[in-house]
Amino acid sequence: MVGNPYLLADARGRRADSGGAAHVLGRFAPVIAACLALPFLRDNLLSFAALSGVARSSGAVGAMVRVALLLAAVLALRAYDLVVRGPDRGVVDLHPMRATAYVRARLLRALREGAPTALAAGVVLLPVWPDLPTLLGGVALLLGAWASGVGMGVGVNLAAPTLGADPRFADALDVVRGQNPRAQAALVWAPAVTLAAVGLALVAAAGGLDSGLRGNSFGYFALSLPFVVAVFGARLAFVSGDTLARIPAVLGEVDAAYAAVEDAEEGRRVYLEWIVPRLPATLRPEVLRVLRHGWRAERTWLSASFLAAAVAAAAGWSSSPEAASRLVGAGGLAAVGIGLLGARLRAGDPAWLSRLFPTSNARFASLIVTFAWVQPVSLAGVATLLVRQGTPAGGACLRLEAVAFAAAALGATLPVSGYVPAALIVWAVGVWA
Amino acid sequence: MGGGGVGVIVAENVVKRFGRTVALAGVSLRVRAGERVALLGHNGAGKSTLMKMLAGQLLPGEGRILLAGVDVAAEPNRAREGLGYVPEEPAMWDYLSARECLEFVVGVRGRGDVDAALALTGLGADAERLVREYSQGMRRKVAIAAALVSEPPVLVLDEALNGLDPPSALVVVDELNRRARAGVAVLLSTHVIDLVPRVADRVVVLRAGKVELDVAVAELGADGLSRVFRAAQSA
Repeated sequence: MVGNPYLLADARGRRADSGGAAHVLGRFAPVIAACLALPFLRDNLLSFAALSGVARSSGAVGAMVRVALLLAAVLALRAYDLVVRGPDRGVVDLHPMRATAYVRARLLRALREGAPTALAAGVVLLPVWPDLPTLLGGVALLLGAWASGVGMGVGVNLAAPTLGADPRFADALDVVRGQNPRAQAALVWAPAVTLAAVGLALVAAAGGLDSGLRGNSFGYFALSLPFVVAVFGARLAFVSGDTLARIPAVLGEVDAAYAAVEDAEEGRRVYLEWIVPRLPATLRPEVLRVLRHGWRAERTWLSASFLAAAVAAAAGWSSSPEAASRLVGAGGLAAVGIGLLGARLRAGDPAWLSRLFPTSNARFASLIVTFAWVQPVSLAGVATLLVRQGTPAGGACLRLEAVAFAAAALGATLPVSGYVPAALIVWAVGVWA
Repeated sequence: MGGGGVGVIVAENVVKRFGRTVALAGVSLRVRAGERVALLGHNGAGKSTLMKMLAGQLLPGEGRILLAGVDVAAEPNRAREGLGYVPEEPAMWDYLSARECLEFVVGVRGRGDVDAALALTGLGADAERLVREYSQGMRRKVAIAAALVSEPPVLVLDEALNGLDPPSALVVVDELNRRARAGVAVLLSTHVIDLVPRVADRVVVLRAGKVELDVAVAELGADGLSRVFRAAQSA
């Protein structure tokens, strides 16, 4: 074997995809969105930056740890997507797994792909860094979040099937596995374990940083904790390499069991199906198809939108003048996330479908369905804001619905790579406006 | 159980349930070195479930599966070393060319002749194009080439000939026959009856998760094969 075939395939893929402004925009979308949203974040979430002394310093550390936790969580989940559920697995699992080469390639890819998100986190914190020690401490904390989110994310997810088969972990897994076999339970719980370990390390590091900024120099040593966790996670990935080949069977069992327990009646009815008879007859078949496709292929995503609706409602439930901006920020971001479904679903449509059944209504149906999916989020926020503030808040409500409509329209027309930057820009404009 | 003797592909009393659905109800199958076996059955008979188990992508609920003496559930990576597998719906790296896909396989497996595999599957002229530009049939050719390129001793092909134009299918069949003569064990599922006498020594029919028939093609004759095929396709 010459070189690392996984790294070589990654490099060739990057080269094939490297052309075009859409690609560059997509890659740096988090940074662009962070820059655009900075005024909103500074005025609404980082207002302590206008203070001075200890109050500002404590506020800065608090903001840094929250952003670092969010960054680590995003990167850990991305690592799960990459090594457990990613489309690559369908290719690499057909062949023998070269464990060391595979782990090295996935760690490097996760670090590289996470770098713009880490940079965006740094941009978000720009207003809160009052002096050099805070700045250096914050950079160290974010680098720790970047490294530990990726290291533990890759390590724990890859190690899960090994731990699931290890008798030493049997008792612990029996407590949490429910009806699942142990190996599946280990894989199901891996993201939670990752987030817990990384979260503890980051909170401890932030505590050390706070202590250091108050004059206790030993506190700065705690900033190394996330890096220790990162190295531990990477080490875990390498030592569990021999069992990487078990992952497809474990996932196959999880997916097969999920499909088998699905109730037949539940399988036929889908979320928001009641809107179909109320539409013009020419639109009904296509709208029903998109509704079914979305509910069956992206149920987790759609279910998460109900949580987003609760967040939007909480953001709107306030008499504070800042509540309207918070609502547009939080609700608009949720709308952008749901709008992505339109692009994702079209990307998942088989190529023969549009060739055999060409229809002029497909994109319009996607727009209708995605906009309908967003409504629980936007209406929950709009309703609470109007109850608390009355008609003066109508402008913000319209802004939120405009962002939701634009996101749905973009999702119905653009590919995923183009949608993400375009929708984030729409969101930022909506927040700014 | 047909195909007595030492098997390169061995399934012993394999049972697989998905909830209340019994996908495989005690299937036993043995394919020897140099033997070619066609697995037939209607949609949902359990063919793909069995083949996924052979590839280590599902675990048997009961029974065991061996490839060249290696227990697939216990040592999946070792079992993969000797297996060339074409899944029913092959996944591809769309952003690589066919040549780069095969170079990846050769890189991972440590051996293989990329140019020969490209020529065999008729992809030579399009080898530098990205897979995302390929038709469905060309994608399937890449999957077949990836399974063949490193000359593994076991080949499992799940509906691999579907979507190929007839001349390409015949070339692949000839190559499978050549490999079988060299000692490779071949198990393939197909719905293309005309190809069965060309590519199989033995036919195994699955129905409702059980082996309903296991018979040499030579014993059937053309009419017998047609009857078996029609019966196998009816649910």
